[in-house]
Amino acid sequence: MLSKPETEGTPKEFAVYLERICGQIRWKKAHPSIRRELSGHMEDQMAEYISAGIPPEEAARKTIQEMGDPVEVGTRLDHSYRPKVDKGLLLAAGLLLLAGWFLQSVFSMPRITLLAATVLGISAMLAAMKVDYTIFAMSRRTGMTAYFLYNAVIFIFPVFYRYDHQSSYYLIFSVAVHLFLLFPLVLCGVMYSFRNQGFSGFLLCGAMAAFSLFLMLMVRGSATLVVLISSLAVMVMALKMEWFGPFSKGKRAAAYVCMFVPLGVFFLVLLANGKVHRLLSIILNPSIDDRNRGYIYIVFRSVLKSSQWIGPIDSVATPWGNFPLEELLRWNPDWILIWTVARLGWWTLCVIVPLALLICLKGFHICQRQSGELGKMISCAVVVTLAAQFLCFLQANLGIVYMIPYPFPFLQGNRSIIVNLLLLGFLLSVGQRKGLDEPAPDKNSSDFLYVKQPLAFSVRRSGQEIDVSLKLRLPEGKRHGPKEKDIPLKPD
Amino acid sequence: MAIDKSLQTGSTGLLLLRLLEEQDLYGYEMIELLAERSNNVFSLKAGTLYPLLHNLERQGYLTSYERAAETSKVRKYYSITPKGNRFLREKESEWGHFTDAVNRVLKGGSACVVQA
Repeated sequence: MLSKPETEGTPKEFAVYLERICGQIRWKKAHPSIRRELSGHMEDQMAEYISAGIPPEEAARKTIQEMGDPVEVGTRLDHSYRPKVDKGLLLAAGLLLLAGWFLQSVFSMPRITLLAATVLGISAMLAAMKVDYTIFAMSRRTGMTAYFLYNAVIFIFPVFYRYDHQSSYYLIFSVAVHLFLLFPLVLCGVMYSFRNQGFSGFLLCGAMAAFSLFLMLMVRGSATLVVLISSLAVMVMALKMEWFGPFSKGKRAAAYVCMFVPLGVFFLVLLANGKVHRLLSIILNPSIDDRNRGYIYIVFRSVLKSSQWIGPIDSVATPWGNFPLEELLRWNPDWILIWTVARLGWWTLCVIVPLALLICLKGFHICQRQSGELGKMISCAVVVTLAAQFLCFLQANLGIVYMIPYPFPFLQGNRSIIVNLLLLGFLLSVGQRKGLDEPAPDKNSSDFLYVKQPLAFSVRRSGQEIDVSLKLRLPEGKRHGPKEKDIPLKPD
Repeated sequence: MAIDKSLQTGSTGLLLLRLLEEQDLYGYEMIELLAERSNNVFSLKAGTLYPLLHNLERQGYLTSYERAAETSKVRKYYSITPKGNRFLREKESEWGHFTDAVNRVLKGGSACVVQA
């Protein structure tokens, strides 16, 4: 029914017609795919007319007429391709920002820096949406440059921190710690540039991730934990999507072993040193360390125990008498949530936690509905980074495991607000594009490969067996993997 | 017989989803198949078809992929999603109720059963 004779070349009028259609569509990245699809349709239509005996010029004219008014068609397509921002996600982040402003005013904190951070953060978010997540579709050179530049930045800061952490370098140190949150995105870009590189590509990406995480560990362990969780998530996803190539079951198992066994060994070393055992003992019985961490656990648990659902508490009874609440924020502004519970009541948690949960669920939904693999990876990196920050902050403020957490995303912390709004911008850019910027997956790509001319064909005899391999120039774009590949052939 | 355009409005998406329920198709195939099955009553214009397809894809009812056809020409195929299947069932049911009601009125209130 549908085998049509192909036309020889596309008439010039088609190009003019398609240009007018694309002129109506504001999202320029959609132009090539729309042009390709409509051009194919017009060629089919013209071939049909020609096979019915209509002269080519008349066939081209009739084809354009059949397509309809280009302005009307383009306008309708523009409506389909209009970027749609996830309003729920934006609203939840906006409400958390407002809650942060509310808390700052209640507790008379300086608001001018918060204003500057909010303005800068919103600008960063809009810039990320404009730049678009496809910026992470990196070539090998760009990926490696981004990786080394990033590491140069986070390597310099630990050196400063070691020698002068009490001085103005604190500011630089704090910036570096927040820059860690961008690492999972850099890792996505690096892994994208190493696609189809097999097990060695996976190992190289893993080694690069481990090196960066080690540098971060020198600065702050709790920050590294957040980045570690999101880095593991994107690496597992890359393996699942076969970014490094289709692995056999054995190779896939080996990849997971390479990822998780070193981590296991690391925790075993901690366990052997008695650190984990001591930590658990303090969590269960804080009084055994009532001068350091145990003291903090006792204070936190006393504050939470005394807090009411609504309204402030007057005093906090501890084994050392009444505890002055103002001390909490003097220790660290990151204890803002526990302070809020004490001063305003538990209801504040019932507002803040569902908003954080909504952001995570919306983010996971964006990730899950992506058809584009890069969009899936970027949204996964962002949402796991946000979720890990939320969880670490909540558990630390509830006195479960002591750590200096990242500030609660969007709620507090000037640098945190800027970086997390930037991350949100990339997440929103994925949500509004739904993977349409990426090349559509070809269902047959794993079954057939069309090769114009092999570069080399080699036959090697080893004993009774003959190995045959073919060197191919792969039909991939400039951003995609190697241009050449050796493919072993099966004798049958 | 020419059909009033207003009667087609809103039902084209339903027809396309029904075609895609059977097999994955590219745009040109859909127009041909629709014309063939409706005895040329539905002759859909490309300018109507593609915005509709892209809209259905954005709503998650369809997905697309590129595949080389027999002529080695790469074409964009559309495939119905589980969400699209559910939507189709709902719309088929709505359409059944609607045509049933219209037929009842046209036949002066006598019972008329229309398959959904």
